[in-house]
Amino acid sequence: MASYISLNSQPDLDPEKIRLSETASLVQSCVNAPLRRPTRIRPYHLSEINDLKIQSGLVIKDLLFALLGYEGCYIRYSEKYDVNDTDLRLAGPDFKIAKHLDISLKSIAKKLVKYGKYYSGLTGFYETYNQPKYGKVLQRLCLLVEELLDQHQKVIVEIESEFKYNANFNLNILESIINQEISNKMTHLYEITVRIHAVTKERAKTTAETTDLRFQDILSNVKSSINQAGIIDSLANNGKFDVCKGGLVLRIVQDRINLFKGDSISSTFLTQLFDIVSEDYIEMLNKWLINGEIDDPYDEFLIREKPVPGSLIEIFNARSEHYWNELFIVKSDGLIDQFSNLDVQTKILNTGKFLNVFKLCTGLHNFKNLHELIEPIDRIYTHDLELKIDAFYNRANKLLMKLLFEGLHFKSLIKEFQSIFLFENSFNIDNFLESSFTDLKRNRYAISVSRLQKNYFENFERVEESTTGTAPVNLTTSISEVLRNNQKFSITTSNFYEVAKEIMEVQTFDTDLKDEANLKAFLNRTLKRNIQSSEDDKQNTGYDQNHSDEYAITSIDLSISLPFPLNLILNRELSYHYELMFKILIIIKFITKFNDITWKEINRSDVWKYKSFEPRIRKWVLRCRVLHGRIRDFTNELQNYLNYDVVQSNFETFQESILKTEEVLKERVLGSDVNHNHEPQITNPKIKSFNNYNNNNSIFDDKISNSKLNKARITANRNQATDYANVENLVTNLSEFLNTLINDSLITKPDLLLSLKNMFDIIISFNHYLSRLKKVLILCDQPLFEMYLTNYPDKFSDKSMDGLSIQNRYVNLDNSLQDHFEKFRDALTEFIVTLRGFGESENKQILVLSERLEKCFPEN
Amino acid sequence: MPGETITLQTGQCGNQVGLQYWKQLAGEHGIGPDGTPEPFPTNNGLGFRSESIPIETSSTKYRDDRPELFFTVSDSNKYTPRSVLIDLEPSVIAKCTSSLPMYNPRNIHLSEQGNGAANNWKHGYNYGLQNQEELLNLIDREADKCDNLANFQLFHSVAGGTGAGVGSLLLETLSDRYGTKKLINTFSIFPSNEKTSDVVVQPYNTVLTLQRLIEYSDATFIYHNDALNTIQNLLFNSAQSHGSVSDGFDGANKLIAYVSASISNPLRFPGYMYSSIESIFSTLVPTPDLKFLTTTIAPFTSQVSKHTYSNEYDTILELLNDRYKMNRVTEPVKYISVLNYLIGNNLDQSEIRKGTIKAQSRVDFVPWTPSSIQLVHGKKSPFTQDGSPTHQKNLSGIQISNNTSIVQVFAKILKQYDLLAKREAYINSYTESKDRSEIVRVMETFNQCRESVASVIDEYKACQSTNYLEDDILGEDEVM
Repeated sequence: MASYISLNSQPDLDPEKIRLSETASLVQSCVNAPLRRPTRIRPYHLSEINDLKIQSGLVIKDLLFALLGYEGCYIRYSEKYDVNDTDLRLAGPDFKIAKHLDISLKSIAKKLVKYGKYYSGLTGFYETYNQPKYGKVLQRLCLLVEELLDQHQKVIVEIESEFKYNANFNLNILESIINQEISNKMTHLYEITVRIHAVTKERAKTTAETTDLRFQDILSNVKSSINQAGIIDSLANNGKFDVCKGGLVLRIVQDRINLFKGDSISSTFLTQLFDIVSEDYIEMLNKWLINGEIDDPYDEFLIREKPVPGSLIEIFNARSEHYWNELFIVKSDGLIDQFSNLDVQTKILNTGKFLNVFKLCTGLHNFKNLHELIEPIDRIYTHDLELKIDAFYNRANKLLMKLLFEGLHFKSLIKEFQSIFLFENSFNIDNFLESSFTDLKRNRYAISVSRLQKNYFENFERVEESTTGTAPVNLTTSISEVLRNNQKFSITTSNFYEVAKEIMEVQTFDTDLKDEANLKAFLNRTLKRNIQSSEDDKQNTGYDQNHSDEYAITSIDLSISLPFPLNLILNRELSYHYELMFKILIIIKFITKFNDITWKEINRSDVWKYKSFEPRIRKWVLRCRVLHGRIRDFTNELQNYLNYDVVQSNFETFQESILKTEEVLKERVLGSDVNHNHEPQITNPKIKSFNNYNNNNSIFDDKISNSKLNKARITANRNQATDYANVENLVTNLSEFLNTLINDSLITKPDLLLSLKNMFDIIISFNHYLSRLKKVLILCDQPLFEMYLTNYPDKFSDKSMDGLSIQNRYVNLDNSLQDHFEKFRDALTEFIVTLRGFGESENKQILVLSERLEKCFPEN
Repeated sequence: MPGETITLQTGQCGNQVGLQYWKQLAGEHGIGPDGTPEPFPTNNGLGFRSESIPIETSSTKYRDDRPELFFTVSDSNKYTPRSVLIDLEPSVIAKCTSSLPMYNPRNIHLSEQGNGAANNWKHGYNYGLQNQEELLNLIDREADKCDNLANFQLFHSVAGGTGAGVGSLLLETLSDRYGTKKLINTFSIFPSNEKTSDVVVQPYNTVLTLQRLIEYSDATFIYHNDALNTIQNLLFNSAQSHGSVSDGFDGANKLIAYVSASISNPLRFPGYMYSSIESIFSTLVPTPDLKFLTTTIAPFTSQVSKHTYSNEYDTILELLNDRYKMNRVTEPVKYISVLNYLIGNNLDQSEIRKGTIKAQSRVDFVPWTPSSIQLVHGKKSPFTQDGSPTHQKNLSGIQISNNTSIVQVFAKILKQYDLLAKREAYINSYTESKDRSEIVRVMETFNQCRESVASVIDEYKACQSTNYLEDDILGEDEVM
């Protein structure tokens, strides 16, 4: 490359002049012809010239003009051509050739004039596109165009001198010189520029219509995330180029490479062209992959840092995880083949993103202190491009994972979540239930939320209070403190069952997407149920003790907002899984607690323990206790299933992967070397699944690698040491863990949930029933009654104690107990049947519970 | 909530067992004999604990266990057992305080004469009655130190003088004072049946004590000396032959202490479930008439593992083995409730599932109860890992069951009682005077106690029948 004209310098100098001055010594040359529109001297009519040689001479002279984009006497612009029309100028003039030219000359001339057109077009292209707004890649191309134009001129000058001084020179020689020297390159470049201009024109049209799209895009994404509608596919956001630049240019060159694959000369030329044109692009890519920097003043790189509108900054600050999801986006517009694979895009995107996160968290501005040996990517068209991207991706992953595990104690975070949300250590939550039980039992609108909150936090802070006096002052804030301080406890307006219903609607999309019929069926069912339940709600406007939906306990909401960058991993969606599990688990805890309290009442209170009841009452009391015992056994089994068969056993699996990750990370140093020594990776089975586009002529290769090896790759991913240090795998493992929890916890299927709720309602109502019976029992026994009458005359004085009333009371007691017993039995049977149904058809894990219940309650 | 437990240890037996009990608890929580805590182990292995980088290993901030339910913690970070020691003669208590200086000396009540209760229930009871106020003050003071007292537990023997007599009085007093709000459970040690005891009045003492247990205790764990001896032979002898004496049990007291301590494992090392004493008792005791509980210990892995590897499945089945029961009878028993404890690291849920299903099919339940075997997943104390790496399960197991073996145990006691009572033998050591009327009065109260025991036997007998829940009079077919 001879010279490099900076985009910014001397824009006022007419490049054409500079070029022309080089040839100024050949004063006589027609190249130097100063006029754009030569005065029209009427030429000789060709029809009057019969000598072929003269005709040839004239036409060569004219051709020399034409090849430089000017008109001659016999070769003229077509009428349509207008220099002032940019489009026409860039397309170059069509020439028409004098009618009477000898047919043999004419045919050659006709072939050659198109190079004049190309020259002219390229000149126009150069003039138009050599501007900052078209970016670095196009700038490179312009430079190449310029060089070619120079070369062309030199050739023409050569030809001219031949023409002047070589007697043997003729049109054929002219043709062969042109063909030899420049025709091929010129054609390619011309075609490319034409294409580029076409794309720019097209973009100019579309961008005018959709300028505000970007803003709305962000806004809608924020909204959908607040509604927790699931993951937004923000990776491949459609940020379109307004003109043809950057990737689009590369794309056009690449298209041409693909088109000329069989033509080795063109192919070599075009590949070289591509290499040169992409130099700046690669430099940007390297900066991004190695340092996470975007050096893209002209907005042409495939990653874009998304501008955040001022009005939304606050939202983003509050939800920084979202901010990070949105901050960097891949521009799907103008992607070259090598980056067309979504995997590769994600890798490139995440590499820089992770590096940025790392830099932000550590306060480092670069990675020099790691003393890494890094060989940047030098060409796009190499065999190890993907390997390198992969190596950079792994490096960034390792940095971030090290940060997470060794700097931020990710493992402790998981452990804390297990304790706070899933009650792995239920001490605090039991304390809370104990101290707030009466409040939690009441209607959620009738209680003081702040008192509950206070209770909750007191129970969690007690840990610190009791020990801070004795423990040495610890300057490092531990993750558990951060979590405990970030807990948000509230009573929501929608109760657990409503929330679960909402989730079901989302879940169906997540899990059953493959099975469309299934999906529809589910949607229908949930819809129906929604309508039904809303009707139910209308009927039950008043507060009913037996309606557990309205209890404060069903509406407890606990969330923890995680600090950056932990919230990138344990993002909103995953936290939500934890929160949901918390809701169901705390309801069951509550019921167990209720059972315990009632057990105390019916086993230990003076009235219930009263020895001198007549035998039938004592047997009745015994039956109460036995039914209560059955209920407690049921809740124990249910709790046992959720806590151990679901939560704990899945947690162990997940925990193992976390521990393995930690081990793997511990063995490694922070920095990584990225160079050409990929030997160890070449033996890696994964390599086969790379989408190596360079040699990949056959689409079958693609198909094969996609179908067969993807599976192998997924399984291989899990087992390979390198992949433990992978952020993506970490998130996958975590979400798999949480999804399994949710799916196995009976709350994702409407029928199951309904059945479960029914059980809860019956249990709660029986407990209420028992807790109200003390007075009735006193009224069933004369001596006991008298005792209480003396102590509490106002409560008992108006009661009649004749034999008939006592008999009636007993009959009532007996019937109501019988009623409770039957209700429980029927509900349990239904519950088991429902479990079985789902267990057999959908989720085998559920069978564990149904089997156990069948064993315990064989008669159901 | 997981509220505090106050322990009362009365009499020689009660204090000896109590001493082992506190040694066990102190060991599990890493508390030295003088009450100084060891740093809580932060193991970086599979234990999966707080911070991987040890920031402050001596910090007690990140304890996962809850020793404060059984100990008070002083400002100087010393642990003191929430325990009251009562005896009428000083030797055992002296042993207690010398080997565990952490005991609060203000919580010790010794008789001024120091000559014991002479294995006479009445002496103990009367002594307690005379010193009732002082005893109550002692207990009240300890109770005031609790945020949320949940439970009293009593270690005593049922056949002696102090443990039985003072113990009985304490049960009455506590029930009167703390009423229905606090639970009371007892660890009651029963004397040998087979061997003729040097204490001839044992049957009297036992029946008198049993009546109080029936009346006031919410759950009583029965430890039978004969059974304990057998288990001791089974476990200890095999261990001794391998030379690991220091680690194993060197006595029946340690067995009792170990099992009693394990019962509260889920309280002290809270997990998902069973973190309150109510949740454990309510699982075991369906009705106050049936509250005498049998414990079983699974052979220790540290001893057994030298022969075979024992996993969750094996342990659950071992727990069904009668020879590890601490209250053993020859006749087949039916079960009212069964609660297994598996204590160890990283328990394998599928093995547990398999074991429990197998056990369910083997256990003979009374007809009206769900055939449900509940399981407590206990966490192993990080202090008692025996230096073994944490990835080992280090499994131990106990079982608490409510079963009909009580019929045979109590019947035997009554038989012995009857032998004495029909001759009114030794009755004058329980009377105030030798008047006939006084003897009759005493015999009458004795026989009331006997009836009360007999009623428990009847209840345990009756509960095996299918129509246990049915009305005797109406006889409706309400089989549950």
